[in-house]
Amino acid sequence: MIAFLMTIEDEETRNILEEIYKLHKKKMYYTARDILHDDYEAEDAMQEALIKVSKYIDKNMDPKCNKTLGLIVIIVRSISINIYNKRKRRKTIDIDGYENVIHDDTIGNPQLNIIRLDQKQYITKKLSQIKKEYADILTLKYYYGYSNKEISDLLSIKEGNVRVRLMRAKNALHEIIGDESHEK
Amino acid sequence: MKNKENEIIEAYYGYIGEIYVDTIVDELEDKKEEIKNTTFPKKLDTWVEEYIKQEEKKEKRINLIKNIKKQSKKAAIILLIIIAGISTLIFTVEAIRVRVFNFFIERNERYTEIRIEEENNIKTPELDWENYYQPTYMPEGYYFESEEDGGLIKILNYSDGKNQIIITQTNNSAGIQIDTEDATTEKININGNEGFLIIKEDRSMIFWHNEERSFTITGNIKKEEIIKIAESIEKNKK
Repeated sequence: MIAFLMTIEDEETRNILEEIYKLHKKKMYYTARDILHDDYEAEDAMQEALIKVSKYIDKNMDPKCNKTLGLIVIIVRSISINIYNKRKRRKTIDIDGYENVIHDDTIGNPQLNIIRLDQKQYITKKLSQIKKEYADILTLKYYYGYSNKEISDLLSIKEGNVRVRLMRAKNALHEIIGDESHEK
Repeated sequence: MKNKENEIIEAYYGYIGEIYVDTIVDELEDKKEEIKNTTFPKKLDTWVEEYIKQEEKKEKRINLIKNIKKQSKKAAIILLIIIAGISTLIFTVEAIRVRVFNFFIERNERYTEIRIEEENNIKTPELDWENYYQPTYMPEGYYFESEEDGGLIKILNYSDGKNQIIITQTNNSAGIQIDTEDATTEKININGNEGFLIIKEDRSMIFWHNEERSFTITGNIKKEEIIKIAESIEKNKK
């Protein structure tokens, strides 16, 4: 019973991870350093982020595309915030409030929102008004298609918190973009 | 209708996510110069290199264990094709006990099963991993990496950092199954004991036994080297 002629089935995945690292290491490090202002903690955050990324690499992932870069930035940012919170002995960053949400009473019609979908600039501007944690979680769920369990692992938060945060994210989004028909 | 509505809303969130990702990338692009001038710690490069290597090793180990489990489940037993002159007489030093080992070989389309059977119902000693065999020769660059005791099998892993040489030893009555599809096989002699050499693509494997144990060596090495390793195997007394 010998693993004769054993092949490395997942060499491809390791190659993708290596390429992601080569292409984006400075951006990752910069993102972590920008939050933590500490070289050692930024290194820890990067290592943790790379370990997480390696679990979610699929063979169709293109290291060069925006989608991949977006994912690793979201992961490294989230890990850095967790490290920052631990350092400050805070439980979590306050993401429950809506203080950054700016109400726009001119919006409210779902049809109007659909029409506005092609208005990238408009949405970009609106997105800048909600917390990054909310935008992160919505993006992981609906753009990357991760399950709540996967998001809980990626962001190192409890699965229950994923659900709560998603709901709050949707509410915040609808507060600023407006949609009466959104899911509750 | 509700589902359709949900699909639309989810697609809407997905689109917003896509725009959000573009925003992230644009923000990084704006800070391009700053990022470029950030001093990057070189030790992270070393860490990543090590991490990737470790993952590779871990995967190899998992594959090995999977294979062992898979093959051990097969209840295949054995047609015998006794090789010409088939049995080999092996005398102990005292020439008192005579053991006859027969190679029992079953060739299938994809693998060959080899087993050594002892006549006279003489059992080989119980496996004692305190006194196992190990090579005294290794090709240049290879070093001892790890060992595993799988109960009935002892596995020694050697590596040159990239390739592995795996040496196994088991009780003589244990069967092994070897992937011989599209492989060339050859009968060989290791220190007076009969064995087999199997070569497939750039991988070589050798199987032989002595009066106590059956051995295999596999690796991406040449025939001459693998035979040299086999001939250098000696009992290690801890």
